[in-house]
Amino acid sequence: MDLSTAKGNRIPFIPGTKPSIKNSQLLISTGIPSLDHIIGGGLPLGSLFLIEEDEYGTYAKIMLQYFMAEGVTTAQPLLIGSKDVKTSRLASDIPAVITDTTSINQPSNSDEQMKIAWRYQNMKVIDTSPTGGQVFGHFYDLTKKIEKEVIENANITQWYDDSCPEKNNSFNNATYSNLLKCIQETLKKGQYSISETPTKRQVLRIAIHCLGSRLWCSDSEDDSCQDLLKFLYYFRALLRYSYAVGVITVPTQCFDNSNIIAQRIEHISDVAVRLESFAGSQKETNPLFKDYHGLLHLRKMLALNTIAPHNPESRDLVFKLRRKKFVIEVLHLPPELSDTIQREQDETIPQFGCSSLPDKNLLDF
Amino acid sequence: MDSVSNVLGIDKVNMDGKLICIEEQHDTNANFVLSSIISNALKRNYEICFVLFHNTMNHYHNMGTKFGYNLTLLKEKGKVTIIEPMKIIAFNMEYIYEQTANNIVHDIFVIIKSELDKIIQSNEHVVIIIDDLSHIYNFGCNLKESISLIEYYNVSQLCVVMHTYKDENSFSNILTHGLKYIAHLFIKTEPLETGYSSNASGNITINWKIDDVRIKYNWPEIVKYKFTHPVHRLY
Repeated sequence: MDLSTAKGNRIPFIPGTKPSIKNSQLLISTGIPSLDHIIGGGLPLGSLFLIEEDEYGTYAKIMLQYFMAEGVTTAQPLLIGSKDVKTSRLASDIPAVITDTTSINQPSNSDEQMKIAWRYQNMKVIDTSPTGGQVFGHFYDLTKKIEKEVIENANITQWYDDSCPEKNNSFNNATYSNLLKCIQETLKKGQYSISETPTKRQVLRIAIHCLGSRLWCSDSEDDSCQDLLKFLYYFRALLRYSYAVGVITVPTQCFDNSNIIAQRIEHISDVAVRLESFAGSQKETNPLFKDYHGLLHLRKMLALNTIAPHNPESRDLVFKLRRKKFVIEVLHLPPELSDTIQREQDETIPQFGCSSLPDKNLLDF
Repeated sequence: MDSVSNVLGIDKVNMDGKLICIEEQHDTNANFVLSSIISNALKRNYEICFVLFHNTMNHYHNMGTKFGYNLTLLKEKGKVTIIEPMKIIAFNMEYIYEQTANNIVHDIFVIIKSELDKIIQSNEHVVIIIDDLSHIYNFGCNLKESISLIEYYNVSQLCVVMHTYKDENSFSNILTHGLKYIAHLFIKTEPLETGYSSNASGNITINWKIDDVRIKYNWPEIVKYKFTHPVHRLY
């Protein structure tokens, strides 16, 4: 965000944000603390976060819901846009926050007695950025939906359009124009622009689901791409000069020339991740990935206010969806001597005992 | 950033009236080249006209403080003129979604032109830096318009950044090919073919296209280096 034109030099205090020491930005959480850590603390105000959807869009939607949930929990206003799913349904599906922090922070007794090998002891990185005495990023329970009253009381603007689009002057598909108009009006109404000085400064979270999918009904691939890029550039411009953060999920695999379009969209966004789920792919049966549901590719890292992009500790990331939560982890190979599962490349079963030939029976002395 | 200027050779050669084209391939960040061009121009006491399509003024200001110049201060002094098409778009959004696409492009170009005319009148030595001209494709500009824009700009020292992709037929690749021919200095940053590495960020290719300069300093036609962002290690 461009704070140079904002009135008053001091970075204002806004609930649900924390300042970043690295690049003099205010950050908000994505709703997934592990993801915050990977992308360098959180999403800076005025940035655009791109999630390139997995094949069926399941996991991207969950990530988007975490982002919305964090907004509701920290009482930040929210704008939800979608053409695929009714936004009221997206809003009611927001997971509930886990308020009981003891269950997360306190490890069970059996864990306590276990000692970590000395060489791994210093692996955990502690984020020491100041949070202003607040919790930054919460944990959510996917099995529980947020209460209806909370949704009704939260400041949520919804944009849902199921009409058949027409062509207008600036876009081949007027739907993009409508969405842009909705975003601009919401930003104006809530005085989120940096040139305004509202009494209570807030950050608007803008979540757009499945942007540019087939249901956006563009006539041709070219039209669709042209409109999408134009929309995103305008969206980026709006975000840069307001107290707002945008998160979009784009089904990049739906485009003919998926790689090039994806790269163009990545260039317009500030942080980009691509989800590759194992559903329906060969990797589903690969024992290497048996504990996970997909790979998380870091496509673009934040390079705001510096010449070099943020450099995470690991780039081999995987995600899995548990019953209650969505987890992003560093990919670890399964231990080689696990009891029954063998890695594909291991052709021979390691033998112990006095036998010298591996193919012999265990009891063969 | 002196070492970068030195490697590029821009600290030795008089760049007046010359065109620098920077091709930033996807997955690399050529901001460090821009930063050294700015430092170099300031050292020579040139005026800078900075057209920002990709990032905000604040980004370059923060970047500059790490390399010893203060853009905000320079802007107040009138040494640097900043034109931000994104800001124009953001603060005129109401008019944009009702207007035709060409009008926005036209309006922005008129603003740039009037600013530029002002600077050129008052000062002979001006560097025009355009960060990421490839963005004009996003708001519906075609090849013809962009070429004429570059021809118009090319009055003084000009530095154009283009973001390119692996696809040969894309707008920015075609435009970059064209620029490559007319540029006097062509700089290309590429990601490593083997993917991400923590020791090197990418390859940089420096191609001086003026024979006289190359003979004088005994430079080869094409030089390739690996570059790494040292900022990584500060944090």
